[in-house]
Amino acid sequence: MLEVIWLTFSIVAAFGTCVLIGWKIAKSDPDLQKVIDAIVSHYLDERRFHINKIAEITGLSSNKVERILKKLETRGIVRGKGKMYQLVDPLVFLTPIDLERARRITKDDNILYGAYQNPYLPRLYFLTMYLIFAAVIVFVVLVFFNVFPGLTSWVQNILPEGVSVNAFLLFMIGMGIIFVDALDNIIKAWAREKYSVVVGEKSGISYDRSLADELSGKIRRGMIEDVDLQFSLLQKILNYFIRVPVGDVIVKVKGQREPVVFKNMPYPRELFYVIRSIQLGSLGWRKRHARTLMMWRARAMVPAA
Amino acid sequence: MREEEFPIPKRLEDAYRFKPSTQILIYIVLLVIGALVLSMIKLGWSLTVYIVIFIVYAALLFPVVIKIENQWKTAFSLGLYGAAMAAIIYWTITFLESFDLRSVSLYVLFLLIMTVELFHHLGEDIAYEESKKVYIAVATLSALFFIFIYMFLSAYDWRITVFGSILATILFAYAILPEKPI
Repeated sequence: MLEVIWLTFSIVAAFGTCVLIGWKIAKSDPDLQKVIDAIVSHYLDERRFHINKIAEITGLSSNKVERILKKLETRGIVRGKGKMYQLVDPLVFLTPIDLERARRITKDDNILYGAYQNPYLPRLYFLTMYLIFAAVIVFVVLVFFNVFPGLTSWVQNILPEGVSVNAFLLFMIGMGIIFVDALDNIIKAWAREKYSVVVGEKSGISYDRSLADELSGKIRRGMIEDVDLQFSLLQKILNYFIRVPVGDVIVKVKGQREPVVFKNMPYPRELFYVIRSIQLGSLGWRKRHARTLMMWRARAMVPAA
Repeated sequence: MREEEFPIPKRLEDAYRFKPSTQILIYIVLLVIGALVLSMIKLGWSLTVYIVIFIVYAALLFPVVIKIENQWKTAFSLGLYGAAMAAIIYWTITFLESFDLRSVSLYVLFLLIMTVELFHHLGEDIAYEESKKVYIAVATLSALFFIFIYMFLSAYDWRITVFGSILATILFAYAILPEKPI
């Protein structure tokens, strides 16, 4: 009984302490809010601005503004060169290198959306890597409960003298998690950042056709016949639980029988709207919602209470 | 659909998720199911083990089901992290059956991995940030990992000790590096 009391006490104490820490971490920083407001009010649509100008608007010191802008830069909200900064379009999720490449290839067009087709999560066969962890768990259970005495004595034999089998089993569980996490990172890095899809105001849609491609796929604005949004049942279910929602965006091109399908695009509804806007030749929608979009992108740093 | 009709919610994710009340309801239902399943398992374990399993289950489930973004959610999420870590540490200490240096190093490695991986899971907003502080933390944790894995593997041939420790540490460091959400 004493054990249960001690355990409960430790859990409650740790929970309370961490709630307080979390509350403090998530508290919005008023200075950060001021800087974001200043950028949103004065420098939407990728206009460049100087640190001193933001300091003047917000009444904060230049050093403070610079620190906040650096923080915003690591989150991909602004990008800077020296003392000059520029707002990144909120729907651009490309790495800085890929964004530069996209700008170069689209001849410095205004990039309205940029992201990678994500061939990873909604494909069940990629999830088979979690079987590695499942195999580790099965191994641990078999040894722990001594289901096959031969297996348990084999583990005892390979361990140095005096080392606890249970300690080794815990270590195996830990290494199983690490191995699967590292593998997950490798697959994501390999598969995800290869298939860029970029929508430019004038250049239309540019996309990678293969792993080594340099945005050779092109759909000019005037060539877009229709655009459609599609969610498979798996995508629909996954979107309730995964961090970034995904869906397929289908673009019908004039004179082409087969449509171009962008699979598992992040924020597919927004991509659909962006493509529709450039097809209609009107960016009214983007302009009208620019502030909301920017605030949404920045909100990751300023959570609402 | 006319261009004027494109609706944009304040949080773009909201269009793809369950309503916050539904998310909370699903979380509670899954917690009840978890408790029910645990109550049916008869393995002769002590009550403390069941409490530890339930707390870890609640912590693992929370960020998967709850997608609300506000100060309360972050605070509660970190609270669950603290609770789960306290439970795991408590259980690991009571589980100690050997004070041999190599066994202790294995327990420490397990706790180190759980500390980081659970934080990755529950403190995702902080874990995703690519800042100098995070990289220093990754380097420090990796150095600690190297020391303890070296201690354990030092019982084997020097090649296994050196190369095994280096490879395992690289794997550990790569796994705990901040990940980009998109």
